Amino acid sequence: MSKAKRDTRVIATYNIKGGVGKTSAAVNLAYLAAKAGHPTLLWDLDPQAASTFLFRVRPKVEGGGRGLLRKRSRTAQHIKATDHENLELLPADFSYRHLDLALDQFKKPAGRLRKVLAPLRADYDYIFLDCPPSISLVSEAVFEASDALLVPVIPATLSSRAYEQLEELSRSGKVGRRGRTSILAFFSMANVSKQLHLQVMERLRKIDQLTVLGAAIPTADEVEMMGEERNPVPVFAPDGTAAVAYAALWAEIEQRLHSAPAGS
Amino acid sequence: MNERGELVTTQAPLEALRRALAGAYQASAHGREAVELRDDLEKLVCRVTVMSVPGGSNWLTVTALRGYEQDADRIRRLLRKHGFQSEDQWKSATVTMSGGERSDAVVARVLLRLQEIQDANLPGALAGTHVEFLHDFRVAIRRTRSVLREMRGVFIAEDLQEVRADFKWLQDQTSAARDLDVYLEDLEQLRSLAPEPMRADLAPLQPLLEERRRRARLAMSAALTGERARTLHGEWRGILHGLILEPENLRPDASRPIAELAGGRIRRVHDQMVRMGSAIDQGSAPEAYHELRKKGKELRYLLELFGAHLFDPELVKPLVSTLKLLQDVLGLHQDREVQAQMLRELAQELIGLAGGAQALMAIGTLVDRLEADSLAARGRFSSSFAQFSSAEQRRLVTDGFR
Repeated sequence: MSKAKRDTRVIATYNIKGGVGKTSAAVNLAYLAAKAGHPTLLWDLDPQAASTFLFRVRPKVEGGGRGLLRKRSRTAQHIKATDHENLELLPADFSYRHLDLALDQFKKPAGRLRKVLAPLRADYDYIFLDCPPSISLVSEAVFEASDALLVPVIPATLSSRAYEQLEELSRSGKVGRRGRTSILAFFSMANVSKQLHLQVMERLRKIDQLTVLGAAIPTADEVEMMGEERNPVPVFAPDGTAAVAYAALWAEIEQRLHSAPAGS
Repeated sequence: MNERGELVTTQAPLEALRRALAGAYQASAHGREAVELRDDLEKLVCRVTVMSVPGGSNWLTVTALRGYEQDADRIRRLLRKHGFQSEDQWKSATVTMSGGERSDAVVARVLLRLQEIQDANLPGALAGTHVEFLHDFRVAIRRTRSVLREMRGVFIAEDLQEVRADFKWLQDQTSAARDLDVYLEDLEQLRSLAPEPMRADLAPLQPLLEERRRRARLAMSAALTGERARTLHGEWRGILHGLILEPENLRPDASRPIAELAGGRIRRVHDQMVRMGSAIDQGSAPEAYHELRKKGKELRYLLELFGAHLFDPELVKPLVSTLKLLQDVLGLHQDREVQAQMLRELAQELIGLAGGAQALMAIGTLVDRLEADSLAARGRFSSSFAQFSSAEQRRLVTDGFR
């Protein structure tokens, strides 16, 4: 594909809450995209560096987050190949904890990440942003930069409220580029043997304004094993329930993304 | 064509890599022809491809994953430190020498080194593992022949005649296979020279050339493993080892200081090239360009094998650079002439093949294009030759190589 014509989609895994499966989703979905032959980049924006750890890469970016934001022409120099074909990583750095402050120094902070990503679009079909759990200037910049926000929701009351809050923000035009950023929720750590999970899933699916994807990621040992294996689930448990669920989720996301025009 | 490899070991590659990188990187086999190297985080940082060659050498290419180029450099350093040879060792004929040494001793050392290069590359050339083996084998023979010709005064004339004939024969046995290697390597480039709609019509060329190469390699292998080659191989080292003991009255240059002899030859060959080139114009026959190119190779070998070690680098380097520029132009001219000639020859064989008529038409267009390129090279000749033969350059050569 010609560099100028690449139809890149930027996908952020985001939730205000932590521990809901953002990193697992980012790592597994990015892996599946790459495995299907799409040049894919994952930017680990979380200073906790979980994605970076899972790909066995040292969480270090020379010049830190501030350097990345200021010298956007040099972003590509910090990218590392993962062990998987077509999948590259822009690692986390501990300095990302001050990314809000670094962004605030720009005239239009919310648009800065989008500008940093612009030159990378020529090289990748998909760019995943694994975001830290917060609502902050970084989140705003992520919303602005993304074609889709992928929101893992644990089907329990408190977690689902966080998603409803995000949906409210979206409806009031405060998420993304004037409504051009799709918000796609999916159930994460779902346990269908729990009555509560089933009730919450049913309730959220009935809210018209919310886009809840059909595929759900179950609670599964394989997902927890990722920390030990330091690999995406399909690499070490390709036939397990989690791998099958991530594949179904990715198929659905890809279909939805390509029914909407990409940002530029 | 991929590179042959950048590092060479005669040890089992995986074990040798593990020993050399112990404590810094882990090496694990990845299929039969690759090794993966991981850092202390168990992150894959480099892949090493291994090509094993009959004769016992293993050729390694280290490829860094993106973002791990510094690891690759460190790995290369560690491997060299642990005895992995650089690929250059299989082609570089560098021999230490000082200007006051007897010429026969230095010439024998250079020729023994060239023989080592031939021996090292012969198994790979015979097996056809990679085209570079045959190429380096032939370069070592050409350099040998050039040294025998330019430094003939250190040998007894009668002995020399026979050896020169043997090495010429040896080179001739490899020419057809090498030419076909080059044609096949150039085929893609040749295709790109043809008009787009005709490129597919050239498809019948590939199998034709491959079959020719197969036959040429068989003939070459028979010759290189035959009695004449074995005899030459067996006797040549003995001749070189015993050279300085031969009667000096039959070897006029034997005891002359090597700087004096080599400097004189460099001056003379440069002068010959200036005269030959000055006689060339746009209308000259292709042979005139070809002869000048051959003489240019002679000068280049003299400069590389002797000049670079005996004379001021400030003098040698610019001369080599201008010579390379001139040789590039002459090389393009020669390549295009040879390619056009090869295509004309193949045309006869293509006639009877399926798709032969279309191939012939495409070849006709291609030959026109090659001839135009050849003409363009002629156009560039005068400027590169002017630089090579300038009064300043001639003065530097005359004064400097003394």
